[in-house]
Amino acid sequence: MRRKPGVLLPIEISILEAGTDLRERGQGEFHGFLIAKEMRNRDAARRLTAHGTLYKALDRMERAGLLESRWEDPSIGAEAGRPRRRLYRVTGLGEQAVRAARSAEIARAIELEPA
Amino acid sequence: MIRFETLAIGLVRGWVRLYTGRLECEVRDGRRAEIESDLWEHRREASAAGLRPTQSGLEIVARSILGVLADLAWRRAVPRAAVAHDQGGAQMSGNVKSSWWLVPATVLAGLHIFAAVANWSPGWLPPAPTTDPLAVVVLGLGVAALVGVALRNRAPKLAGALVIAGVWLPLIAPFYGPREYGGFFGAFLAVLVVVGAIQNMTRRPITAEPRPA
Repeated sequence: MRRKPGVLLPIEISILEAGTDLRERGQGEFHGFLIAKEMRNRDAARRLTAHGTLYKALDRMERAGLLESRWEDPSIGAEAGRPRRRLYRVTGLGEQAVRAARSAEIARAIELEPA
Repeated sequence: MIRFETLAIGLVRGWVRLYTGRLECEVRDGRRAEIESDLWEHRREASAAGLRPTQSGLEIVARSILGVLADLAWRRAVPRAAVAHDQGGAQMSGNVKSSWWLVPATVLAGLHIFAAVANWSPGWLPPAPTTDPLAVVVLGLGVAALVGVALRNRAPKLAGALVIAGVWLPLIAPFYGPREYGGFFGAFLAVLVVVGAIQNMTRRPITAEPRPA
């Protein structure tokens, strides 16, 4: 999808909103499957976001500075008997971007409201 | 018997290995590890939610198939520095351009597997396990097409033969009945795949030679 410069795509807004919601619930970092599940629940969608779409968006958002990521200590995953996770968190820039996107959405909704 | 969920995970792993092949180690291993973690979490979640393995397997395959175009776009957008910039890297870039038929081939293979599972006889459940021969054949066609796609660089002739053998059913389906392949659209995809596979068969095989240090 082509984008206007400085405008977030719907999936990016969804990831940032889901990420900030998770943080408000005490989970500052999230892995790919967790954010996909959170997005599905928030949007009441039937399916989880496709692998390619999700990880491409996460990669792009990290390059844009909206997210930061780190690899979990492999020993934690090994102890839990699972593969190590890549953990993301929403950056300050990401928070600002999602706030701006929400404000723009509200402004648009007010404009559309019949007088 | 192999559970469909296990088969689905194997297919996704194969696809990820394919499109991340010959990328710089860090990028390649990062994407593979991330998908591996996702698959593990998905499987655990499905099991906790009481989903049947067939159901979760279908979800996993659907997530992968629906993301194929994004995967290919990501692969193309990976910074040039991250692609192996030796001769093999240049060859890989050419391969990506000549691999346009990969998408319809993967879609048709996925449809075969979906059709096989959807038509699988419930007789495989105890106490009288039986298998539906047609479902086994359709599953075999899907797997043959996928194996062909995976081997397209290493053994182009064998790969072409496997892919063509795997997609013959959608070619005749509009004329003989099975509707699982999208009628004439499925046949059109199959024609594209056959053309691409034949084109691929005329290329020289690529051997995985170690890069000089």
